[in-house]
Amino acid sequence: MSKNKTETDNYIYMALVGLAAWVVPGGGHFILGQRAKATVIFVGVTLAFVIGIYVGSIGVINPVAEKLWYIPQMMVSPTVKFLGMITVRNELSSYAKPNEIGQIYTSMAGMLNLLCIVNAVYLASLSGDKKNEGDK
Amino acid sequence: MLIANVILGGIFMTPLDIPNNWTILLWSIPLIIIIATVYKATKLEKVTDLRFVKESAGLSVTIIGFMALIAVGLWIAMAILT
Repeated sequence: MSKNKTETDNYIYMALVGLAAWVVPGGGHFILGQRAKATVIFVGVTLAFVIGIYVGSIGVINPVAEKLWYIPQMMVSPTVKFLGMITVRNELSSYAKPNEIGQIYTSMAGMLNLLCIVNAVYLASLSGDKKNEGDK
Repeated sequence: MLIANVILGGIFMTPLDIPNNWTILLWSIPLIIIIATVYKATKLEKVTDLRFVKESAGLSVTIIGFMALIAVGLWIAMAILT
């Protein structure tokens, strides 16, 4: 019974770490106590994303016309949905090279954050396993 | 929504004017550096020592080098085939 409870706690902990890493880039590592790594991840992912929308405007985030690019862009943070809403409501658009560079930067920022989310969840699972071994 | 438009307006509402020539390739360099840095941050235990900087720089140079090699290889292949 207590083992099941501990396992459930671990899954909740891993889910929380994963959620934090998605909401704020580097948030997962921050919860795990790896503040320096969290800072590097936050600065890196945010910088790539900001460069992307600076080059191509927020028109590069288009959940209607550019659905396939929107999926990796959403990996940066759920707040990207808000930017997508601005694009759709104001009918903003971006074309040619600025659009391509902007989409590549913002999507790569999302893919990098996905890598960091997976890494944070993995580290959370390891710390959970160590805790369990300590309890035995 | 209006507040967001005011904050984001000007900087993020209009795309940059980027010329369609070879200089566009230079836009890949900051992205490669960011990718290498964040990737190494997830792989190394410490990010506060010099090893992190060295490995990030090394990975950046490796990616740029191999991309350049592939570009040259494709250029040679195209020159031979056409």
